[in-house]
Amino acid sequence: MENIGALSILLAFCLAVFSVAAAVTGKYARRPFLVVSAERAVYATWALLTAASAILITALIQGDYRLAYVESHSNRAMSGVYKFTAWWGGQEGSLLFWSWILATYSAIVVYTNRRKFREMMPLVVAIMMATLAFFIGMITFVASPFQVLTIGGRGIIDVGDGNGLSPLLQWWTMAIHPPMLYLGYVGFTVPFAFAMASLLTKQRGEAWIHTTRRWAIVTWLFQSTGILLGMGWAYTVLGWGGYWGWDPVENASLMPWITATAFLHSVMMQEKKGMMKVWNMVLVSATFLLSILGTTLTRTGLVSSVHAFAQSPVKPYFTSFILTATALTTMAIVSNLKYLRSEVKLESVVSRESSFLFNNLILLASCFAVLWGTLFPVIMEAITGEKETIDAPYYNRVNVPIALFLIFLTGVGPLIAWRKSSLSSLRRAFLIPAVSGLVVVVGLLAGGIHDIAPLISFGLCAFVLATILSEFWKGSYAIHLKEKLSLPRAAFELTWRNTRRYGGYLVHMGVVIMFIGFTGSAFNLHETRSIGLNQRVRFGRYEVRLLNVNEGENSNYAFNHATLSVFEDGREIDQLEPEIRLYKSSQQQASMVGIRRRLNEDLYVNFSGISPDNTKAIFQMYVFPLVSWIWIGYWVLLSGTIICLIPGKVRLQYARTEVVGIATAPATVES
Amino acid sequence: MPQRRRRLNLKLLAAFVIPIAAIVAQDPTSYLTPNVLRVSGKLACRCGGCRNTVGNCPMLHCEFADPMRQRIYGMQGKGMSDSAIVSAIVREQGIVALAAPPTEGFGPVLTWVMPGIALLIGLWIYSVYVRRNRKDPEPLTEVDRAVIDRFHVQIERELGEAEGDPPAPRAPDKRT
Repeated sequence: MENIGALSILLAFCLAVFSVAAAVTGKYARRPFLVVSAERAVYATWALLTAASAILITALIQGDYRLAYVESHSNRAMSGVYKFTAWWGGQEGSLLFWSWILATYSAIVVYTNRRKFREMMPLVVAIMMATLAFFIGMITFVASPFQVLTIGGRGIIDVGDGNGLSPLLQWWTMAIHPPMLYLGYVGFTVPFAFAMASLLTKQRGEAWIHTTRRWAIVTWLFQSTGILLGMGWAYTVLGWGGYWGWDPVENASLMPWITATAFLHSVMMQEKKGMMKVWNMVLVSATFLLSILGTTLTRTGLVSSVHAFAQSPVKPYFTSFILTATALTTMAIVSNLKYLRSEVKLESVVSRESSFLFNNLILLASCFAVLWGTLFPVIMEAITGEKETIDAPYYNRVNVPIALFLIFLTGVGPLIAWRKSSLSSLRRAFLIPAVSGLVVVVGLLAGGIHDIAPLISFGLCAFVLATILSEFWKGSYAIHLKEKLSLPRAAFELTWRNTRRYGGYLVHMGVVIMFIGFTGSAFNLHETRSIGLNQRVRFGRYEVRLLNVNEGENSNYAFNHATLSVFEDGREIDQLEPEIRLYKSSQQQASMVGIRRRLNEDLYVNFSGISPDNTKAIFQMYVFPLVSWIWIGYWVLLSGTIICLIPGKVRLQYARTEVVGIATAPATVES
Repeated sequence: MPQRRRRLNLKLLAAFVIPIAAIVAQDPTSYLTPNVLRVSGKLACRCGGCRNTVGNCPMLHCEFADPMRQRIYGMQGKGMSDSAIVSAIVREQGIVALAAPPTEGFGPVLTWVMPGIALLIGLWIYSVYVRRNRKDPEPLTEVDRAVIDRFHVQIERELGEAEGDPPAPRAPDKRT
């Protein structure tokens, strides 16, 4: 079967190359049959990659240990789910997975636009298939998932069992986290392809934006979900409660997310005002290129990372691809600058337009700080030969002020009117949110919190939440008065009438709620304690008593399991059961932590080992205040994004307005 | 295969063969003091398995962080100050030992200032964009009352349509 798999990806590569050539030739030589042929080649490529993937998955599940990939990433003891997830658990399989997702997206794009955008579709197909051809080329010629194990290059051998997936990856969120990130990374290819095709064919209007808006939002949601699942996994599995470590590969997933966030904001300016066209091109291109960079960082060993696959032969190809793509994209944008000229001018610096621009600037500064921290050690080592480490302290010091300013802008944006805001309207709009922020700061000061960063952060979070809630209140109350609906019903009606606006507010609310959770980390507690059987130790406001320690094993791993009683004010409130596992095939150790999750704080216990004299068990105990709000914030963000995707009850049109004159006397509106 | 379990009495634990490598070489509570954690928070854990500092690396068996903490504990025992300990380790391993780049030397300083420079460049681009694309203020002109009334009627009509009311009659265009 491995020969059929290898043949499938070879044929898929040939078809992808053909599709690019046929689409471009068909477009410029005006041969429609070639364009149709290119589009059909997209479907055929998808079918071949699906077949290749099915063969690899079958080999993983059935345990065909003649294949090097199966031997390295699967074993008999693993459950069926993790055997399936081994598809993306290693370099070769994950490249196949990447290619399959892009082929699926390409097929969906071709099918849904089969009668639309006939001018630009050939170039959309060419750009997507050129990207796909590169990835299929990698699995065809450089890192094939269908390599067999051989003895001295002669006989094929079956080793009987494999190494298995890393125990840290045998966790339910890891079954979803990589696919979500890949769906995000790969999905950014679609808006990029439409943007470039629109630019190169000099389309009138903003057709590419209307078409790709949902793609961009869905892709952004996948990326957000992937990042949050990764954070949830790190929090639960790594044994120290850290959900973000500023690892280069984590940074690689964050950078396209930041530029995509900037794009989703600035694209509204183009849609509503015909402004920031160059900027949007730059952002959508940067998002695509950063996605490729993220994939490059994970796959080439360019930077040392916990997540990266080992040094591999794909490095020069990825580097060449990213450099070529950057050069071609820059050329396309620079040579078409005239076509990207703004239709409308900025009327005031104190306007929604200007705040969008500023928000984009700050988002990009944050992205640059992350990119700089990730790549600078590599550049530095190449130039001076001296190694430098850039870990969490650097990123926190640089990014925390930027993040606080971004939170502030999240609150300011909705308060400023489009085109121009007067001082009196600003004063009116800012009053309640500013007072709310101040009240929270004063309350916290009175409550004994004197650290400046958490005070600012909580104050700004209150400011933004008050802004969003007052937006909902104003609209809902007007509907409640006019249509005699109950307030919750009026809020529902308001959201349904303009799903984009109010869904967007909910997304902002989700982000702010997450920031409340992030800020809680300023008050973390941590201690390492040795506890004897039935001994009680005090930790923070809790007392912990060790009830027993068990040992055991199953086919996959051996374990030591502790049971701890948790007391508060002398009353038993919970039992925690942390465990240490030793996976037999890989001889790797993993922790299953015990967590008592509450809205105000999590009590988190990691069973670290047994003391040298065998009389005590050692536990790392942590209190993480407000951490649950990060996960709650994600659910709010998810609901807001889904609401944004639902068509509004009222179809909004963004007429390009003009000023016909300014009245010398104030106008009156009759109610 | 069903899971097998055996309860361990920690007092008699030595009598059992522990199936996993759970026993630590030295009880970490003897050297994980707040002073050790403070100094080790400035040093990068370079075990290759995490991106933490020596202070917050969670692996008690970590082959890099754990000996380093014990070493710092020993150095503090000899009366060395925090900066002397960090300097001694940097002299031995280079600036790669630090969790964040130092604030001296061209390269490390560049690491810190570059995001700020990028932000300043961004602000400059923003100000250029605003200057070039800013519209001159509209001249104050007298507008015919009829024009304003026409817009009022239009607003009412569109709001009514937006809220599902039957469309209001269009106002006659009085501009001539």
